[in-house]
Parts: sequence; structure tokens; C-alpha cells
Amino acid sequence: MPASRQSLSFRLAHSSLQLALRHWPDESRQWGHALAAELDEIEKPFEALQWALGGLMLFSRASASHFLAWLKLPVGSRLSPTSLLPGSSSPILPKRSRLFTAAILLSTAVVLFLPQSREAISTVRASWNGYRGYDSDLRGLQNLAARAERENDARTLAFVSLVLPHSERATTFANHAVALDPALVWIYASSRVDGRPEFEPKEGLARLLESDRDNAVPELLAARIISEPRYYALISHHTPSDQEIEAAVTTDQAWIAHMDRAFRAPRYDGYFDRHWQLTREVWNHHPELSASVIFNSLWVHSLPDVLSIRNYGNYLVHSAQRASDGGHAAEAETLLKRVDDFGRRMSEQGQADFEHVVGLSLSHQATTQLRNLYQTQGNEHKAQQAEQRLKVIDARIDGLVHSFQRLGPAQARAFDRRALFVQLSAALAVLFAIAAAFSLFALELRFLKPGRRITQLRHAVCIAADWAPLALLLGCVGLLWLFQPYAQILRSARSLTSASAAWHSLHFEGLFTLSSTLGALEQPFTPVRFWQSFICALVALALFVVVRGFLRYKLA
Amino acid sequence: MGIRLRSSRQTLAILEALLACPGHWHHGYAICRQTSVPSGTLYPILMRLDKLGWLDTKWEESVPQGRPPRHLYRLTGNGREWAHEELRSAQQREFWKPAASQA
Repeated sequence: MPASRQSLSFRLAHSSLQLALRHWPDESRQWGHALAAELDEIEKPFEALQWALGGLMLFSRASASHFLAWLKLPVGSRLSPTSLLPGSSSPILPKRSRLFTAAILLSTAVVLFLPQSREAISTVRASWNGYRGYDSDLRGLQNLAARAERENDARTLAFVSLVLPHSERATTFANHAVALDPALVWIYASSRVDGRPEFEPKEGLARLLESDRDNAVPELLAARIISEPRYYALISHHTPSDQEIEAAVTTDQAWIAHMDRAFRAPRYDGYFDRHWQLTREVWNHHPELSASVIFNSLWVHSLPDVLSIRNYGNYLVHSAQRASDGGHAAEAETLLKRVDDFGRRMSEQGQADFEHVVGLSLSHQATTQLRNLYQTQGNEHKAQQAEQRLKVIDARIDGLVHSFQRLGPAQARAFDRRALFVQLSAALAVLFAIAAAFSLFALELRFLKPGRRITQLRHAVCIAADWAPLALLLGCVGLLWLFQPYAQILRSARSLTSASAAWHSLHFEGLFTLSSTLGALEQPFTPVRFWQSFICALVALALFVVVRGFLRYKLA
Repeated sequence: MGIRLRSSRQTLAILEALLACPGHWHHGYAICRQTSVPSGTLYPILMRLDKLGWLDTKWEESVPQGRPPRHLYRLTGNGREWAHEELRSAQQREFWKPAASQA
């Protein structure tokens, strides 16, 4: 061999053509060999490289032409008829070409890639475990926090610290957020879903008490830290009486001091609107956040302890009764007015329906006692005023009760029906995706050899390969269309400024109908198990059919 | 769908080279050198001529040791008639000039 033939150019040309020949399509392989054979006649290295480059172009054209021909055949078929086993009949194949199937699957991918579809899928998926969230949500939040830390984005950090489960990291994010923006100190007031305060009482709460002195809520939260372990201890032994519950905390001077400051505080701000504003702002900035994350953000919002408020109200009312019995009517009136004033502040300045109800209930209790006191004193004018106030309170309570029952039975049924269709289309889309993937892989990877005793199974798989991708596309389009009312609810919730309105919109008129078991609107927290069970049962059935076919084949 | 062959300048050059010695067997590299058509264009044209039945092909029979057999080509009878016709028509349209006249 001449020395020039051992040059890098010759070796490169030779090895590239040999590599191409190894993968050359059967139907034009002889032309590849013809081209490669000429390489030995070429003397100049540059010409050899040019020749090899032409060969690679020919290989590309041959491969593309082979691929196009392969695409035009049905799924599971080969270009070369020699692939059939000797003596076997031609295999049962689907009717539709690979090109058609690929086009349908590509269209499905395009539909699924639309932001509206991703929102629908994410929300329906979140509804399947009652919006408790998945690991993917947690990873998404951690990524969000990492980016916010890099960008010193205080509000996103505050949001993540609220939604993340209680942990060192959540506390670190909260501290970082407050360090960047001291106005966010209210986030220390939020708690986990189980009701235990998230903040470190000695640090976070102290900062909150210090920075929001004229607000009753930080004092109520501080009182809660004292009262809650005592209530738990009582409840764990037996069902306590009202007197036992009251006695459990009213003997603690620190609790009394916190509650006294709370009842005297000129302002009541539960931070619910600020919490919703923060959630809304981050949600609008990161629309990819799932409904689970948004719900969890609302759920972790800490509400004052009703038991403590009721206990302290009772404590003051009982003190007033004792003062009245002891002939100190003015002191009794002052104590009862303190309860009524706090109830009034809570019902008027509170941002959650819960706070309105508790506040009105306190006011009702105190005003009733005031009316009785005035009647005992013979002060008819003040007794009449108290009676008028009681009527106003009753009317407001009635209004609130009606606001909880916005949906009539017919509307509730319509919501349930809509939710059923959304869940049905989502479940069917999942099923068709499984059927399409299984049938296409089974045919392409030749799990089902032709000419064996699994003809019926192969028929079924071919029908699935023909129809499942089309059904999947229709299922996805159907889901997108059926989800539109829910998408509208999410869109409008993003623009609501009132936390209470957002809570109503998202929970009772919207997404919880998706999560409720069929027709159980009165139990919105029941997660959907029906569709998960349905899908699992059908997947098990498909596996059973495959295993049975395989065993029959082995036995044969 | 039938195979179509566009009478490009490269195709006409190859046809002229094959017609130069009609009974003689040609190999790819020789046609390439004669016509300056690169291998990536030459072989697709040869493949189409073969599919249309206008090209005879065979593998070299007596091959020196250590060298792979080469693929040889010549036009069939029909192929020659068609090639003459194509070249004449291209000349009339002034799309093509024979190599001799170009020189």
C-alpha cells in the first residue's frame, strides 16, 4: 500500500464510509458498496475526502428515503419482507400508517403544550389528591425560592416560606424575606395546616408583636401558643366541659395579659388580604404554579384561636355578672362593652367570613348581657338601643349564612355534572395514552410475533394502535374545552383583590367541585379516589390480558 | 408514482460520458473524473438510470487481491436511444453543448 494511503485523510475517508455502510438501508446498500469500492482507485488524499463526503451525502439521502418509506407503512411493519419467519403468514397490522399516527401524536403534543392545556392538566391532576400537592410542586417551589434568593426577591421568598412545609428552610426563607423587606413581618403570623404556629415563638412572634403593636391579632397568636397545649392536654383525656376549658387558661396570667391587650387593641388585622395579595402577585408572575400550591398558600393562613376568644369573652362576661351582682354596674357595663367593641372590630375589620361570624357572635353575647343589665337598672332607653343592635347583629349573621349557601341545588348539580365530565375526559385521556403507548411499543418492538396463537390479542393491539392516538387527541381537546369554565374561575381569581372573595370563588364555586367525589359538594375535602381506582383497574386488566397471552404463547 | 429523471447539466454530462464508448463498461470514479460531477450527485443519477432500466450494471469479476470488486455501468439499448434523444434536444434548446465543442 502506498504511503499516501496511510495518511489521515485516506483513513478518515475510509472509516467514515465503512461506518455509513454498516447502517446503510438494505434496499440501496449495493450502491454504498459501489461508491466505497472506488475509494481504492483514488490517489490524492483531498479527492478521497471529497469522494467520501459525496458518499455520506448519498447515505443521508438513502436513509431519509428509507425513513419516509418506513413512515408510510403501518405501525409494526418492516420495509423488507424477508423479516417474516419462514412458513409464517403475513402479520396482522394496523390500518393507519406511521405517518398518520405520528401526525396525530404530534397534534396531541401541540394541544398539550398550550398553556391552557397545561393549566387544565395541572389542576385536574392536583384535584386527584385533594389539592394536597405532589413532590413535583415541592421541587418547583424550591427552584422558585433558589431563584428568588439569587435575585433578592423578598415577596417570592415570603410566598415560598408560607407554602413550604414547616422546616428549617422555610424559616430561613421567611427570615431572609423579612430582612429584605421588613413590611413582610406579618408572614410570621402564618401557620401550618395542622394549626401549630410555624414561627419560632421567641423570635418571629416577638418581632411581629414589636412591629404591629396596635393590632389585636399578634396578641391573639401569642395567647394561642400558651392555650393550645393546654387544650390538647384536656381533649386527650376526656371531653372537657366549658368550665374546665375556661379554667385551663384563665388561671395563666400571661394568657390573660395577651388576651386583655388583644381585646383593648384599637385595630384588628388578620393579614388575610395581605396574604392573598402576596399569593396573587406571585401566582400572576408565575402562572405555572399549580392549583395545589395556591390552595396550600390559602390554607396555611393562620386564623386566631376561636376557643381562646370565646373563653376570654366568657371570662369577661362572667366578671361583669359578678360585678353586677356585687352592685358595680358601671364596671360590668365597661367589661361588656369591651367584649362588644372587640367583636365589632373583628366583624368589621376582619377579612375572613370566619372572623365576621366569631366577631358577631361575641357582640351578640355581650349585647344580650348589656340589654339585661340595662333592663335590671331600669334604663329602658339603653335597653332599647341594645335591642336594636341585637337585631342588626342577627341580620348580619343571617346575611353571612346566606353567603355560605350561594349555590342552589340546581346550580350545585350543574357544577357536579361539569366536574364529572372534566374528570371523565381526563381519565379517558390517561387511559387512551396508556393504550396508545402500549399498542405502539408492542407492535414496534415486536412483543407480539406474527403467526402465533395470540392472534386475537394482536387484533386488539392493532385496533388500539389505530384508534387510541385519535381518541387521545379527542380526549385532550375535550378536556381543554370542558375545563374552560374552571379556567375562567382561575382567571377571575387572579384579578380579585379580596381574600374572602377569592376563597369563595376558588373553593365553593370552582375547583373543589372537581375534587369532590361524584355529587358530594357538601364534602369538598374528599379527594377523588374513584378515577384513580378506575384507571388502576383498567391498567391491571390490560396487564392481565398481556400476561395471559404470553403464558398461552409459552404453553403452545 | 413513477421515477422521473430531470435532464440537468450533470445528467447530460454523465449520459455523454457513457455514450462516448457505448459498449464499454465504465466505473464511477472514471465517470466522475471525466465529467467533474461529484460522487454525491453522480450516484443518485446512476441509481435513477438503473431504476428506469436504462443502465446495465455488474460487479467486476477479476479483482486483484486486497481490493474490493468495483461496480461497472453501461447504457442499455433503450438507454442509449433515450440518451441520444435527450442530448439532441438539449443541444437544440441550447441548454447543452457537447464536450468536444465546449473544448
